[in-house]
Amino acid sequence: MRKEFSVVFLFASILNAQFGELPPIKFDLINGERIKFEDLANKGVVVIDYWALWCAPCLNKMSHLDRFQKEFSNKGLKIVSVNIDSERSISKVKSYISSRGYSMLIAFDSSRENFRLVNGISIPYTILVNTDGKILYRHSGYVPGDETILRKKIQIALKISSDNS
Amino acid sequence: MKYGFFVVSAFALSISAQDANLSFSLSSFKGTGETPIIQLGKSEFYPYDFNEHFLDVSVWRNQWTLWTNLEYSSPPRIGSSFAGLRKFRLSFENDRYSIKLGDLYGQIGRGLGLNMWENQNIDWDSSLRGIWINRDFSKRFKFDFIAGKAKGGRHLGVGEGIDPRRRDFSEDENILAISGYASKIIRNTDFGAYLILMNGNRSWFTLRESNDFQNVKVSSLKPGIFGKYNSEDVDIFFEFTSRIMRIHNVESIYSTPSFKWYSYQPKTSGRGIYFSSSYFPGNWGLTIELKDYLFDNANPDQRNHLPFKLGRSSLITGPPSTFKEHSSILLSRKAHVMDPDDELGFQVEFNYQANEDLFLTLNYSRSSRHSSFEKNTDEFFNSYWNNKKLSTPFIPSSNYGFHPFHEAYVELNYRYDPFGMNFTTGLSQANEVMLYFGQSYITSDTININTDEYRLNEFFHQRNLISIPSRLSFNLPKNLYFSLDMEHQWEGMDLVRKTSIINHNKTLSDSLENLDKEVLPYYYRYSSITFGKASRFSISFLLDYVSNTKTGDVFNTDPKQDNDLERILRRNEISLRNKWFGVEASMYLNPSTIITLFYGSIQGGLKCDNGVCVYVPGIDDSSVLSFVTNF
Repeated sequence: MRKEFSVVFLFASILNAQFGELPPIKFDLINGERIKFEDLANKGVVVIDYWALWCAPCLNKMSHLDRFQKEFSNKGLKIVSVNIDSERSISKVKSYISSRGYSMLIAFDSSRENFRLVNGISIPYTILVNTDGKILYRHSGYVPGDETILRKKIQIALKISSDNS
Repeated sequence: MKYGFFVVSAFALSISAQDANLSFSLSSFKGTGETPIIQLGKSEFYPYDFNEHFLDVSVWRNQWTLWTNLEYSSPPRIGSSFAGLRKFRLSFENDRYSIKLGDLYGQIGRGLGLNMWENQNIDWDSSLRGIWINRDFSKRFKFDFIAGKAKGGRHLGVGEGIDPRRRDFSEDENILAISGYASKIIRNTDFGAYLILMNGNRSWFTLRESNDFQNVKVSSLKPGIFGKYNSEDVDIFFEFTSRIMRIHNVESIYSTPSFKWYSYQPKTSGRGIYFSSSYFPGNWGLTIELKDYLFDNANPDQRNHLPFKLGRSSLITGPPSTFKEHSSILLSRKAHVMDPDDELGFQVEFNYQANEDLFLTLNYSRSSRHSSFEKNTDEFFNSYWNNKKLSTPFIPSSNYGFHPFHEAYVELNYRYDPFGMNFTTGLSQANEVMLYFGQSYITSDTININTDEYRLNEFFHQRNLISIPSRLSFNLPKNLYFSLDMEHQWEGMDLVRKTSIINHNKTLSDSLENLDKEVLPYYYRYSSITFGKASRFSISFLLDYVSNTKTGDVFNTDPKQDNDLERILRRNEISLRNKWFGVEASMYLNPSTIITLFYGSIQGGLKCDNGVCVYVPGIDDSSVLSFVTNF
């Protein structure tokens, strides 16, 4: 009886809840600072991308993300590239990012708690969020051409005509 | 069920408020096929189905979040069947405090002391179910309190007659950990210290097939320190931990006569040291990592039963591996399997962005054990293990008895935008002593026994590998793409018998009396071709090939056993001997929902993560349907 009651209550409650929002996550940045998502979102549209050093498609995707960051930074786009390697890889990650010359924000989620919270299943996992914290687009994996689709989604979110860019 | 009721109720209550938020993800895998179980010369295939479904639900309101993971698997691809609430965590966080209740993940330091993580693909789980309180004092001092229970288990890898899909035994550990952390005490430098208490139960038995095992209580105390230095272009980290371990009721272990040849000390001590340093001034970066882990020293008799050894590290100890962990299929199948209890070595990695399109990675790693054991027989025909120890920290030995491993790897990534081309290729050269047995005895003639000279018989297997993984992809118009993966690997397994005369008073150099070497060559190839449209669909053809197997099995020679795909290939006179074929089709129903169907066969092999390796069996003549979504 207790079980049935819980299930009924659960479904009734689900109908009442809101979907499509980003959980209240915080990013542990490469420079040691901690930043809340809301603080980033206040300044504009945010792309969050989860990746790891051992994931070859993730590394291919990152070069495109960095281009978007450079291209749309003056329009208010912030890209946070969240590394989910274990904490022991931090030194290697820093060296990799610096050698590549990436300018996007780099964060760590070694325990993968945030990754789980945003329902990440596989990487690369990309989420596009607007200033209200509403998830506009999410996508797992990377194949050539995905960057074109993401670019269009960013342009729509930033309300830029694709002809202007 | 008590957890289930609690979580469902908390979950329902929290989202019943209008301002609560909710998100879901669902992943489902269903497959049917056959799994090989190794029998030397004639592996057998057993049919099995797997059925794995995971539902992750996150709900949050203000500073509270609840994450749950529900599972229904009967059985999973690897591991045990489960139905119900598998994981959950309720968290509260503000600027000063964070409290987590439920299943905990994370590390203190770099994992020498405490490393709580999970990977279901290799059936590894060292997460704790308990409470984690973090208190932040004025942004400079942090304090952590962690208490909980880890319930894990280990696989022993592939073996004759063993079903590798099941865990070989389980263990549980109660953990109490406290940690303090001070930031920027000296310029850009942080320090931390921790103390971890473990009290657990381990099953222990001598034969893998035996059900005759006992639970033995073990406990350990592990204090540790760590420090960090960060600047714009430098990152330095070190960690040191020591461990005092007790095996309770040692005497009870010897109650069975067959166990008597073991001798366990009731109290042992060990330690682990890790150091890493990175310098990244501009378009290049250099990282150096050093490790020296000596928690438990085991002679070959004990090592043959190492996973059962009671002195091994705690489940929640997961020190850095400090060698390259590859994403290549073939390289990861032949990964070095680290011994977190007894290993020292280093890794050097160099990254270089030559120009906008060309990126280069060089990696070199080397490691060995701390000791080499030889079985000595003295003039009275008594046998005992002679332990030769390394005296230099971090510098591994290249002597065969120390089980040396090294790998040199170079990788090049080139992008050519006008053609939408991306090309990555690597070259790896590695060798490792996989098995070593040394036996020494005094040389003697019929009249005199010369006690200065010993004859040393050595028998070892050394694996030499050369691997070339490469991947090429092209963007085509209308978001279509094409990609090709090609991996080649050559393996030479040296079977060596060597006899030397050793002079113990060092006045004479060692002399080689006999060297007998046999090389068993193997060749492996893995390739896949994929064609698709970004975020719409893809179709891949996969081919896995081995020149011959170590067990002497020959696969795919009987046309009667062919699946539909193999029948088509055989009709076109394509040789199927020792080849595994598969076709995989994926379709995106929306950007975050993907459905995939695989048909064919997959070869089994090692899968590794964080230095933990598990043999994941292949599947034959199978179909696997997977569905992944989140919203």
